[in-house]
Amino acid sequence: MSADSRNDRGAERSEEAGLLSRAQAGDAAAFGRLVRVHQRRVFACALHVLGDAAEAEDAVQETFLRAHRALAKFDGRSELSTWLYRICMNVSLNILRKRKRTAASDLADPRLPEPVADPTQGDTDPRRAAEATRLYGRLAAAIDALSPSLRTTLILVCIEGVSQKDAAEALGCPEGTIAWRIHEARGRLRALLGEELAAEIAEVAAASRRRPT
Amino acid sequence: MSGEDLRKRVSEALDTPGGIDAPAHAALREELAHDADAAAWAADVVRLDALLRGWPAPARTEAFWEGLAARVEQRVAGARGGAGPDLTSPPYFDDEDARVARRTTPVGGGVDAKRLDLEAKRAEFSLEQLSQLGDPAPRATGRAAPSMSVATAAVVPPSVAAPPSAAASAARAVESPAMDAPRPVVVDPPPVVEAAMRAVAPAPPTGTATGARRAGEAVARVRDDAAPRSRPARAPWGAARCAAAGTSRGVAVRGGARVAAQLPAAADAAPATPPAPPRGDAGAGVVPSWARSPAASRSRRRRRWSSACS
Repeated sequence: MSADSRNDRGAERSEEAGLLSRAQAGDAAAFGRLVRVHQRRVFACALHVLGDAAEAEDAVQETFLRAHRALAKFDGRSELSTWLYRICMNVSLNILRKRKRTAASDLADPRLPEPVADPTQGDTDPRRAAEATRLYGRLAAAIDALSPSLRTTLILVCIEGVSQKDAAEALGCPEGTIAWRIHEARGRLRALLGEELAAEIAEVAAASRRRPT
Repeated sequence: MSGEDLRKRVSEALDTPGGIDAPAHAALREELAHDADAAAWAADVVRLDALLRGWPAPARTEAFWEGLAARVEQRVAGARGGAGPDLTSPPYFDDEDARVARRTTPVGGGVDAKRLDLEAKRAEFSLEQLSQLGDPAPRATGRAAPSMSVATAAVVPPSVAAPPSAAASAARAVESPAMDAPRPVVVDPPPVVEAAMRAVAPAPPTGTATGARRAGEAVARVRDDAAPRSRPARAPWGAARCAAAGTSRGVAVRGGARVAAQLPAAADAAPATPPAPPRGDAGAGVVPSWARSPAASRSRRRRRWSSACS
């Protein structure tokens, strides 16, 4: 990490701490600013857990409403984002428990990227983009098949990029449990997607051989 | 090394900065080169990890985000009270994986700070250390217990004795101010006793210790009743007092305040200093127990008991 990025991060934290203290004192504008800073990652988290855009929007609203009610209890020992992730997971799991239907993972899944490119490979081949979208669809279905504890941990750590330490804080369990869940989820996803992953890896390797240097 | 151990090491390596390609994991890559199955598993998981970490964020317009934030602000502004469960606590998972995780050692046997803390506390409260502490059970020492504690705390049930609270406490303080024995439960006299005291007892003259003295007498009488029967009872002393007061001894024991309230007015004029020891007349009963030495008290009681019997 460079000195500039460390300085930027420090400035962000300082600004967030100021907004937080103002929001805790009842400043609605400061809370609105915090909502705008964090709503994207909260929405992405809820969307991956729920697989439904409308429900994810409801989850975002409920998350910030609950956070506003409990703002006085937030003591700043963890990151605000970690605290919001925890509330978001609770809200999303509540929605999942109340849900009667099972969301179908298909090409209309709001979690899937637009089939214009493979974001992990950086090329713009339409065929590759369509394959990547299909692969993500299979991946989303496999994630939905995981148990809630494995799914939420995998989403937080592997998709949202939350550190295992912060994930442990958000989910209220030791870091060793987070590591175990990640290992277990990887193994199960690999068992579900093994053949497609192998085929996809072979395709990527072939594409890299065809790609002009 | 088994395949599962190798897979765990691959998983751990993926969670470190630089992933499995980091220089620190050269030995792991060397092992994978000799294990085709583990190498295939590692390749799939590495690809899977890349897909997960590269999952594109949902594409939404700025208008969407602004509208979402506005709806949040609208709900927050219109929200009333704090209804609903607290969702700031960690989520609880009741699935089988969560139960297994609670029973499973962390991957790679990693050291967990919370677990170490719990283990330290477990050692702190271990049975082995508790067994090294002193025996908490009481042991007989051969020494007599303080008479006050036996008489007031062990023998007299509070529901039966019902001593006058404030006066009895004052008397106890005078008799044994530094006593550490457990105090009996103090029960305030019933309202009827209080009313009788106000109606019958004249106001004590200034400079007397009437209340404390009366309460001291009541406590002394309770002590006498609780004493072993091998000692001579104080029947003449108490009988004379009770006869003068026009009440029975049982009532006197049960309600010291009432007896004290019905004592002759002459007794109220007693000085605050301990009076001289009685000489066998009817006024002997006004001498409180704390003003007499144990030996003199015993001899006086014996004399009175024999004279009353004769």
